[in-house]
Amino acid sequence: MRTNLKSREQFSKLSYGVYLLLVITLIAFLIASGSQGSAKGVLNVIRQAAPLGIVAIGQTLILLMGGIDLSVGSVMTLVNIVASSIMAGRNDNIGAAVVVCLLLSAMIGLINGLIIAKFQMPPFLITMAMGSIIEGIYFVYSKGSPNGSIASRFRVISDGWIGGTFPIAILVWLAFWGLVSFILYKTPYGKRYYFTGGNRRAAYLSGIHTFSLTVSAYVLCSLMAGIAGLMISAFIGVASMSVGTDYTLNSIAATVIGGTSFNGGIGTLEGTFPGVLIMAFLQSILTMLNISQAGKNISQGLIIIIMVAMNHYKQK
Amino acid sequence: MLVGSVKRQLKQAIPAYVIWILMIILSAVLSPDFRSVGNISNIILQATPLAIVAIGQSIILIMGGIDMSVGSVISFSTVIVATASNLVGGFGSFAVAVLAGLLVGIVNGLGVVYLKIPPLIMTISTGAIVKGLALLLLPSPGGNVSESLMSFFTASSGCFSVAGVFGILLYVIVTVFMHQTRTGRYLYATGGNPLHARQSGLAYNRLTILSYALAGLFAALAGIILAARSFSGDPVIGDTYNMDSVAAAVVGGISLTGGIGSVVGAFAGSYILAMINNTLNMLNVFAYYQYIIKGLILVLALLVFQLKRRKKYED
Repeated sequence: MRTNLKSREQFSKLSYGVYLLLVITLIAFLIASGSQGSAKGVLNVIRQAAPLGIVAIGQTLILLMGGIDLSVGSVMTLVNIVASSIMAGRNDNIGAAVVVCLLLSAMIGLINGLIIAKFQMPPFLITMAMGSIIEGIYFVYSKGSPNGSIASRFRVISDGWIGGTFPIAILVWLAFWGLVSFILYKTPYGKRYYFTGGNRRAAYLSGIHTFSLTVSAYVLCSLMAGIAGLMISAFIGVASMSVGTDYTLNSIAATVIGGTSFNGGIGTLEGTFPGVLIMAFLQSILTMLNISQAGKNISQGLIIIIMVAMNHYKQK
Repeated sequence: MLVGSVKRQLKQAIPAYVIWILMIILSAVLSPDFRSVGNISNIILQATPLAIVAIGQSIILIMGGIDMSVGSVISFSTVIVATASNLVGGFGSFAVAVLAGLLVGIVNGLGVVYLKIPPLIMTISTGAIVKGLALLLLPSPGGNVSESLMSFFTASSGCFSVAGVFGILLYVIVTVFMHQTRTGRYLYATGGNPLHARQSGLAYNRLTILSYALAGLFAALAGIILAARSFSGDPVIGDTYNMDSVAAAVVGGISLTGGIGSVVGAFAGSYILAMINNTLNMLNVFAYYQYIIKGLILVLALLVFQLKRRKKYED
């Protein structure tokens, strides 16, 4: 299973299967939407997938590095609640809200990363406990009934259409995708993700500072979750206690559809991109069929199991 | 490495019992309300479902895996008990729920063994599927739990209800199973060093499937007791039990790396968690602080127990 890094990377870039799957789900979506199916309908689904797309970028980085982050959903809800209460519908407060939310999410990532790297704790339990703590914090902060709303000018990033034809949200998503792709593939820092995920001990012995890499990965992932939380806030416009719940598993599902391995070191961002779209089309089909919540849960589970098993057999 | 000695495994549970007994003494001295029969039976009733799930989680952890689907299995079994009672009667629904739990556990085991999916991912995924099924069966809390099942489990004399005694009985059986039977010892050996266990000819696949099946079974039993206690089914009631059951096991001295600790510790672990909940309720602490406190307890317990252990084995 452990082949050399070069061929692993080549393998992981080979994601034609994912694009085929994407085409199939797209056709299924068009058939399911029937007479209402249109280019605008498709763009609308992609627009709604932007928050998932951004949080999945973070999750991909973490899985590549050999960890997992189960707190992203709670971070998104926290950001949603804090942003709406600070903005309170006023355009003057946008700057303050964005800065506070990004600092909060970076801080959460820092704590996750420090505990996991310093004490070598299992990442999924630490991030899960962190998720529970964040949940408690936003319940206490909002006293169970969140209030406030998102400023109208801020809502443009998720609701706006350039010239009425192309959603701004997709551009924001593509911008982050491009930026993180550049960091991951073109900088030495990004290469270290593959080395560390592939073999942490060997990476450490070859002089990679795995401690700071781990911490920075969790900070980046939490930041992505924070940005995704801002996007989803701009999308729904109000504070909601459960807006992020689905995103933890969805981001993992989207990432593994794209061929990223749970063992670390294998995977790409251009695999995660269609993975996100597949999840988005699938879930809007389920919503159209009126089995949204139960169907969402079942499809998340089935997709993860099938994709992980398939990836395993491909790698053999 | 510790496999040879039952005494050394049981020793891991001592800190949990010390903490538990100190908690009992402190609460009994400080608060007269705590000493009332009503409150003690309340704590036992609250702790029992957690204690029963924690048995399954402990077996899995000792074997070297983890089960994040127990929460959904609990929800699913409350839903089954609440919807099937009318069709197959109280104890019929009991049997259906237990079978469903076993089935989920076996699927988990098969996935881990034959599809080679990491335990965490496999059980999170089956957990999502089972939760979806529970939501399909019963979209919102409600349903109808059979009268006979309810009165059977909640019947009590003094502090002890049938459910509480049932929980203690399960602990006795599983403790004997884990420490005194060959299969139990094999589970320890598998957790201690999977490679060596396989090379010494242990039926690794069968042992893994067995332990996941047991975890599913115990989660289903916990769900049945929860349903009998609350007299309804709830498709999301089990969500918190994934983390709580791991926390109970870790507080009870069971290692996450496998092969270390005893089920006995998880009993004290679950009662410690239940008593903290109970105290917070009695102090009128805003209910949502419990999320924060539970998370902090898990992190703290991990830091205290895992760090100590790591040092011991590195030396």
